[in-house]
Amino acid sequence: MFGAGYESGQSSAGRAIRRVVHAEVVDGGRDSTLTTSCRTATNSGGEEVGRRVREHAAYRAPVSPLEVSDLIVDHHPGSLDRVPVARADVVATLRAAGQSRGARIAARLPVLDGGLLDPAYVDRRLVAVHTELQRLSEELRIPERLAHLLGPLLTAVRSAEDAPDRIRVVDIGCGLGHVVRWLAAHEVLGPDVEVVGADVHAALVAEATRLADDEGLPCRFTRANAFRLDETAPGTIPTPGAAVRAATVYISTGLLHHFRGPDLDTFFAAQATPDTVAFCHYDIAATRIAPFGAWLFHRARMRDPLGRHDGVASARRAHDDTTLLHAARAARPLVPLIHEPTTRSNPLCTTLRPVLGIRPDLVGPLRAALGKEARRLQGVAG
Amino acid sequence: MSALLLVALALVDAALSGFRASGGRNGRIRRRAADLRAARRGLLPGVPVLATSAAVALAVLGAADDRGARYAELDAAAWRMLAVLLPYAGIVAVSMLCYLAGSFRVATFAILAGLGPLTMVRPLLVVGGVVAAGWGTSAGAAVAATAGSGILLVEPYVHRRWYRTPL
Repeated sequence: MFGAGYESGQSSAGRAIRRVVHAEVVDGGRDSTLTTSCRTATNSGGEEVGRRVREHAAYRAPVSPLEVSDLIVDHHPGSLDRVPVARADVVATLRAAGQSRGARIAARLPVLDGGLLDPAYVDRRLVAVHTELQRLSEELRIPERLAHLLGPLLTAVRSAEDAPDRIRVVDIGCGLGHVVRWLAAHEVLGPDVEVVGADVHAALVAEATRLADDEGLPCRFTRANAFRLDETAPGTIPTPGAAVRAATVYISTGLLHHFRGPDLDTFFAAQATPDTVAFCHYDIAATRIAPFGAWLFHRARMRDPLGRHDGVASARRAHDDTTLLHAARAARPLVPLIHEPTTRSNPLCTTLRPVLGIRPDLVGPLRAALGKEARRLQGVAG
Repeated sequence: MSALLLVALALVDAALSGFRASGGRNGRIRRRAADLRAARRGLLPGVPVLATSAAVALAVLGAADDRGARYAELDAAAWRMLAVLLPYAGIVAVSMLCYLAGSFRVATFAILAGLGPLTMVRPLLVVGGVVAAGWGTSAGAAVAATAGSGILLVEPYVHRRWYRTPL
């Protein structure tokens, strides 16, 4: 991918609360979006998704590919409790979407009595896949790329008259927390910045915490619902909800392509809180070569077929700049910007690019802090 | 000279194979010691592969009626193998230099246009080197096939031996 897939792996926040399947249909130049909430708590969930996808397939329209990892884990939206997932539903959903390879991968997952996926195995598998994805993130220097922009962004935040004494940066859908741990290990953001990782998947949060503790890194991780950032989430770390609620800056890498249509707007709107000064979400640059690059890079670097499959799917799901800019307007009054827009970037040098949101009074200070890099910023009007 | 170059290439490749075998298995941030350990683990099977290849070379040399002619035959085979492998190794070296010394944009380019695809074609290059070395000479083919197959087995061996699951 060029970029991508890994991005996919870093983000289970979006996928877990509801398994929302959006089949985007392009028909005669007019886009319409089908949103189907799929709850694996009911055995009919997957069949329902499959039926809706088949309906659209009948129009011979392109459908956004599904990621297996999005389908094999589910959480209750309120309690964040794990919800059992039936393997047959996952397989049926993937087959209905025309993804036979993904269906074969899902069909090989072990089940418990009743055909439910073995949650312990799924956790181990996803931790392994995310660890492989971290390798891609490392090779493409994603944390370094983010820090390169986050530094000036925080400079702008500090320049505000009402700047907080302590800045809290929260990584939404942090997965194994590679970005958070990298930022903490390299101490590039300054002593007044606290970095927190949030994800809904308990196994990923536990592994991120284990890795951070193992290296004594000054960061922490919590479980949180990306759709409900303003709510107190039941967590495994002391005061997890408070950590998420009080974010000064939200960040993510490889999360946005998991949201389609209204959910993307909802995601951005949820960040328009009084405490939030800015956000910076990196996602796969939707270039023509991204799917091929994703295939090649995942083939060369990843061993797990699930990770390979999802890596390519994530590149094909990537949003274009216009979609992200318009969706980010839902975080009003934060001003949406794209850094390194795909039309002005070499796709071989920029695999991920961020959509930013920043308080209107801080746009000027951000441009000043960026210096020459400010020429790579693009707003809604270009 | 040709033999020394091939030995050097094989050792570097074995070390890098060990590094690749560990890739995606250790999620820690500070990993220099672990990466060096992985490279050493690559050398562990790499050295026996070289020793086996050398033993095969000595065997075919010893079995020859005209050892001088057989030596020249093997030397020519080694140079043909190097003609395939050295350009590849050169591109890999330049890509790694760009990756390690360049900005993150240059590093991304080096990975996507260089190291990623080069990793994928590496087995083909090794097979190509074996074919080139063995072209018209069964003695050269025997030595090259031993070395080539052995070097391709280093990474899967190290992975299975030490890195089956995340650390």
